[in-house]
Amino acid sequence: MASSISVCRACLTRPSTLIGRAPRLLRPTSDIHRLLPTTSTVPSLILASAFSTTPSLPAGGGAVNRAKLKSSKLKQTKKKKPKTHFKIWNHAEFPKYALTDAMRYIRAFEVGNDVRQAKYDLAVKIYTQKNGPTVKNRIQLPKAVNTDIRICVFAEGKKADAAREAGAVVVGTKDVWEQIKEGVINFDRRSHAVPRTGTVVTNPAAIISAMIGASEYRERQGVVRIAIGQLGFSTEELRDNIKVFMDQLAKDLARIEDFDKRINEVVLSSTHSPAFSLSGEFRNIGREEDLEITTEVVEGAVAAEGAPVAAVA
Amino acid sequence: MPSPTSRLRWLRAKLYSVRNGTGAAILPPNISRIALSFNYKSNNGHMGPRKFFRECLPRLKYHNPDVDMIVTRKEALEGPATLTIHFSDVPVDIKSQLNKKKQTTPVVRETTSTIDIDMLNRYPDDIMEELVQKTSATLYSEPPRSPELEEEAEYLAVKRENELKEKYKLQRADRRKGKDDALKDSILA
Repeated sequence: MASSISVCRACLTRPSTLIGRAPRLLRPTSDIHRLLPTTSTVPSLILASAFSTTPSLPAGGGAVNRAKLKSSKLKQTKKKKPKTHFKIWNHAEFPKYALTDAMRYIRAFEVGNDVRQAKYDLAVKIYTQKNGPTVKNRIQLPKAVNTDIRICVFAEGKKADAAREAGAVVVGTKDVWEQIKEGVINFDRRSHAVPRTGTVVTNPAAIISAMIGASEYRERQGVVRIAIGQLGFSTEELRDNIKVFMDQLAKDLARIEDFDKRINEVVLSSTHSPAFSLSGEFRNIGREEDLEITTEVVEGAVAAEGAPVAAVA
Repeated sequence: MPSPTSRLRWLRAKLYSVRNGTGAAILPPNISRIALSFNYKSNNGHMGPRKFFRECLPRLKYHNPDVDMIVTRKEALEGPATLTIHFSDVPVDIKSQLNKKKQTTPVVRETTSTIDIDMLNRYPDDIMEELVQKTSATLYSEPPRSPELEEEAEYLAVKRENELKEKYKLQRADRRKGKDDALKDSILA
């Protein structure tokens, strides 16, 4: 089959495929070509008939599927070790932001948005195996994030009063059931009381206080995400929330035995803002770029620029 | 989670643009609140206010974190588009606050007087200019980098360029080699 196409055996190029270079390749200039008899006009063809570089066929005489051979070879070379851990990056050289700096930027990006709807999100990257146990827990933050939860309790007597005190919006028995049937109360079927989720209890007051303001978090793809605050929270409130959450997360990670789980990075973002890698400091001190911007700093900068003052004033 | 590199590259640009540009001004301390009121749709001259809200207001908010900025948008197709500046008495401990860098709980300051700016049929730059004039705000511009930093940046840029050149050279060689290999394979097959 090799002899059917015109190929220069010396340099393994097919003249027809390289139109621009063909004359150079056909000209007998290389050392190998000079060894050939000068009478030949097309040296490559003669060469091909003189010997064959194709390996001899196997003894059985069966055809070899070269495509298969080739692909199997490729596969062998490209085979990689399966990754056991989620990928983590070395972010030591990247800038980190103090909490107040990050919050200042986030508030600027979120300007004009509803301070109750927009939330601060915290993402904690964990160095962990791809399989194995994951972190999943509930937390009661010092200042609750989801405050719009409304709870309906079916109870009577003292327990009804206790539930009302704990923060239930609707409390009753048959009358409430009738109202739900008639569609007076907008009732979410998905959050119906079920023993499995722990919402059928003997002491409703305790679980209500746990539900209002509690938030769930779990590890997905090596990252734990949680809404950590509303946009309207002050820096101190957010700091306390983050502190409590990180403490509990560290305990959760330590509780999982036989598996090495470590916190890799903590990133703060919000509903409409970019993400900021947190440095762990509350306020940044000493770095030039994070100088408190007072009027003196600005005047200095303007004086250095010179021209824009006149243009504006 | 995206890699830190990809996150950082555009974050740097984004942060620079929120610090600098039209709207980067520091308001005097007697301003407690800025309220915008305009329509959702841009018909009848409400495009300028929208641009002002999207481009300038974040910068203004960044440089004046303690000033409330409230945006009210209406469903109507016509009507006024106004920017209201609320003035109030300067809190006594503003200077000590700055020095101590201590944040107290936000106190609602009573408005003593207001100024309205008509934003209808105007460009954001134009609105900003009037705002700066009426409030006598100070324009902010990034302080220039120190010569050492500038030098280092230059050095890093040159270094990066050279690295890229080397990288591309290798890539080109690889590509050429790959082509030749493919050709050889096709001949052998």
